[in-house]
Amino acid sequence: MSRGSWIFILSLLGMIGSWFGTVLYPQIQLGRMVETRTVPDGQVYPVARPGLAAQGREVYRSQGCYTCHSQQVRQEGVSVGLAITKVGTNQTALVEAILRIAPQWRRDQVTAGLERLPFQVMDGVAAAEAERARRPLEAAGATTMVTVRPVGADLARGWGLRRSVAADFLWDHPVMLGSQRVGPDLAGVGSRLPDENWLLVHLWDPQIHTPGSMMPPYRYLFEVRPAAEVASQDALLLPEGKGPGPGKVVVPRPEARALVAYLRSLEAKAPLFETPVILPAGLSGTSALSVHAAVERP
Amino acid sequence: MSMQSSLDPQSVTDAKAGQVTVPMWLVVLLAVLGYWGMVYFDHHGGWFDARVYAPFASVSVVNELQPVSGAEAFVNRGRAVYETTCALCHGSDGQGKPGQAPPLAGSDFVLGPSGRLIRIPLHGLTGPIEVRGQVWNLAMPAMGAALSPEDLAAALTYIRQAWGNNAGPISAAEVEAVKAATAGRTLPWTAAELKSIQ
Amino acid sequence: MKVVEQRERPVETGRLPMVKGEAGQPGEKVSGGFWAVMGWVGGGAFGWVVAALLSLIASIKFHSPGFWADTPLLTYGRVRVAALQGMWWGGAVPLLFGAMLGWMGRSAPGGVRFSGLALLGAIVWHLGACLGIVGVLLGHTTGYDGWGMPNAAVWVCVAGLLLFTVSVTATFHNRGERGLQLAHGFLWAGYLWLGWVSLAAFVLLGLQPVRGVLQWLVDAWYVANAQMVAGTLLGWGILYAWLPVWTGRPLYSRYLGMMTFLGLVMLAGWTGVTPSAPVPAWLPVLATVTTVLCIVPWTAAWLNWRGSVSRCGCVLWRDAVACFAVVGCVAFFWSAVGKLGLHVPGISTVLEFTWWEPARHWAHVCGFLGLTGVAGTYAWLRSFPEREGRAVAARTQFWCLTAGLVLCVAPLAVAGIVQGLSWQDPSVPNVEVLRRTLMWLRLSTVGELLMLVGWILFCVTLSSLALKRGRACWSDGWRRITTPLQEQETAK
Repeated sequence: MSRGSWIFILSLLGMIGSWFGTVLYPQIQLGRMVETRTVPDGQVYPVARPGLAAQGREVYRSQGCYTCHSQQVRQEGVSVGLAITKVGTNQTALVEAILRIAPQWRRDQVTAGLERLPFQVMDGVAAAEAERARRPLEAAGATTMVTVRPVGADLARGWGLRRSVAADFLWDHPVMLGSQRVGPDLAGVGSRLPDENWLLVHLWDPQIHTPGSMMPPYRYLFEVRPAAEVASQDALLLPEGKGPGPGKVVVPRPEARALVAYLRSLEAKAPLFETPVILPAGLSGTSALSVHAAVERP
Repeated sequence: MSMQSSLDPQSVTDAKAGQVTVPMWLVVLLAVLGYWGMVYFDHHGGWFDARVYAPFASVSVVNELQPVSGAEAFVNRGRAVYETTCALCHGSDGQGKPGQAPPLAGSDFVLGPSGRLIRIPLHGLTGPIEVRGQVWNLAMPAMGAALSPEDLAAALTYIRQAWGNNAGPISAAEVEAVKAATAGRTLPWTAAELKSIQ
Repeated sequence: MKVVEQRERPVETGRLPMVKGEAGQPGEKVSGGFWAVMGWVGGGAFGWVVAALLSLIASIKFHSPGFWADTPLLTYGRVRVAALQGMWWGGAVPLLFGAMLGWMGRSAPGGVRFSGLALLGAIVWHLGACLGIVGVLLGHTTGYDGWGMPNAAVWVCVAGLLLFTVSVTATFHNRGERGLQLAHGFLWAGYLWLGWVSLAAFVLLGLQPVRGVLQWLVDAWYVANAQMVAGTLLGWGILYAWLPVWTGRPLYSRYLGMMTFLGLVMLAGWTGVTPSAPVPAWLPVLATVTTVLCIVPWTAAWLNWRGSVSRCGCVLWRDAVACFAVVGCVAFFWSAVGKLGLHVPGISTVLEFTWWEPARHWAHVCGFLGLTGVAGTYAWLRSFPEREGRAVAARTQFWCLTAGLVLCVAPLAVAGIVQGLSWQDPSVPNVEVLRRTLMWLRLSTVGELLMLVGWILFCVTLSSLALKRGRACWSDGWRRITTPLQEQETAK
């Protein structure tokens, strides 16, 4: 065979190779994915976005929001630790036990910590060390759990509880992961900013909540109407002096409401097998994200 | 420019490329980078497992970080299945509902041999049946026929261990074995039939 | 139809030391495809103007976010997407296709075959690109970063591409020298590759969309193949086609060329998946490994370039045409470094999701693909007599585009590093991260402006050439129609 035909065959192989590797095989692996269950609650995940949020996704696409906002959170690792979820009857023995296994605490800190359960006794240790530390604490009557906390710069910013995985986007079309963060990541914006009015005000004029933002105002998603015509619950609640003028109110158009419904539906935080998160109820990851997945070991 | 004058236009345009060979160091570089690539993939690639995401290196690492031991996770899954599939009639507390379904807590059919219990959701149950001293005469459809063996096994394990029940777990393999053994069956079971199974 | 006008062999003007080779063809031989090639490159030049204008508008929005913000058509999200899509579909691709057709037509005895079809194809293609840009501005984008064109526009572009295929295949078949050159392989592979990935992406994203995160994977695969494989092959194809003409000697090494070729086709298509994409770990890890392995074909391309131009650097630099190629080549190696930065473990954590990627994209598409396209166009145009007096214009364009490119790419890259480092520190608020990059983003506006001027000048040059030739053709035809028959007989 001539050299030319070899090159031709190799090029064909190269052509098919990357398609096979990045399209066909992932399609076999992920393309037929169905809902998974959260770990350990066994809840079905993900649930398709409700109708208004699905319409809002179209607004998000058509306005090109994905050019400035990504929807993929990174995770650099996990931090394993130990938390006390219940205090037994003998609190003095427990404090002593805690001070033995975690000498970095002061006695008053420990006492204060035990007042506000759950109390994270140690963090960022090896899993074996956390397991070892459980025994003296449980002997002192406490109920403990080994915690697994995802960590990373994105998570520390409060952008999510864990990294984004394929399951988060199962029912989305199109999937708009974005490739650039001019503004913050939005993968968990629904948990971070659940207030509808806040988001609407931010779309009307981003400078109100975040002075210095480079986000364009989306005034064309709103209309200014005489206050007399509009039912009060439909109008936007603007801070003093930022309103459109006396006797007038700002009313979000359906597109704005849909977009906000979509943003509020973005909460990729369910703990899944592939992204383990173990935190007791009331002890959040890195921000105000609530964690409903808390399993206590007996 | 000196080179201009010496050029024949035609030969320049159609000139073939020179024959200088690839330097050996480039081939060595390819080999070194290829070796690095294999090592890097081995350490971080998760070996094509769909459940391994960065920063985890392999599925065993992910497994170690799971919240609870396998048995507990299994029971949790079973609870989720039970709540969606069974609890409507048998109740979330396993006490059954008058006129709908007998209790599961303390029932001999639940605590008895696993083969007996597995058959009930697979094909249903009809006719009179005595549970905790009370006779029920109702028909149960084949509620578990559509469940996966894992889900069914988890749900059955859950009811064998919840509400004070204390019987051994049921594995997906057992469910599959019973499924295979009763493959052709379409009729629901009767209590008498079930009692003959040990 | 025979072109009647007789012309002198063109004389070199200005201070450009040109090699005789490119001017040696008689006019009849090459003029067969003037309008066809002009349709592609001229349209491409106009596409570049539109894209650069949109890109400039998007850039101005970093000076004042309220700039034209009340017009839905011109909101940042739409203008930016339209600029990116316009750069690719309206600018880079048709310019490269035109340069490819021009070179192939030049080495075929009859010139471009079926040039009418190719011209029609150019018109249809640009109609599709226009539809696409307008569609994006109206909000009909797909939502994917790479594959952004609305379906309707793609159908039109496909029709244009098919017409082009007929013409370029026939022209290639008609080539004077039967043997294949390196450039043939690069150009054909790049052309077919682009068709294949675009078609696959169109089916899997536009017509029968795949589900979930697979959509993003298909898009990432498309971007890697279209830019890193097809675009790179087309760009180097144009360079390899004309380098012997500019340097006056054969290419340095066919083996290095083959190594570049095979390395790119085997590896570069895998490089699309970004390191922290929400897909199983093996995909981004494979992308990282293949990107690092791409160092080998890139190095081979570098060695081949260095060998080919060694001791000719001055000649190339002083040649008003070849200097475009030099800057394009530099931009290519810069974009290769940029690509490595996005994938190499450790560095990628800082540079991902920042302005580094746009800087790389600009270097690759505006710099490498755009400038090699210009170089190929001018090299092809040299065989036409209308080019006299154009050297100064070409120089101005060159400096506008080069300065614009540098002023765009360098500030964006710095902005990327600043931004990436700031994102790493959770105590820096989001607005503060943005504020730190603003100065650099605003500096890049100057670059965008200079590039726009450069593209407008290029477009004007091409249009004036086309006008001049159009007028000549028209008057010639008119003369033939109006001249009495007897005189024509006598002339014969």
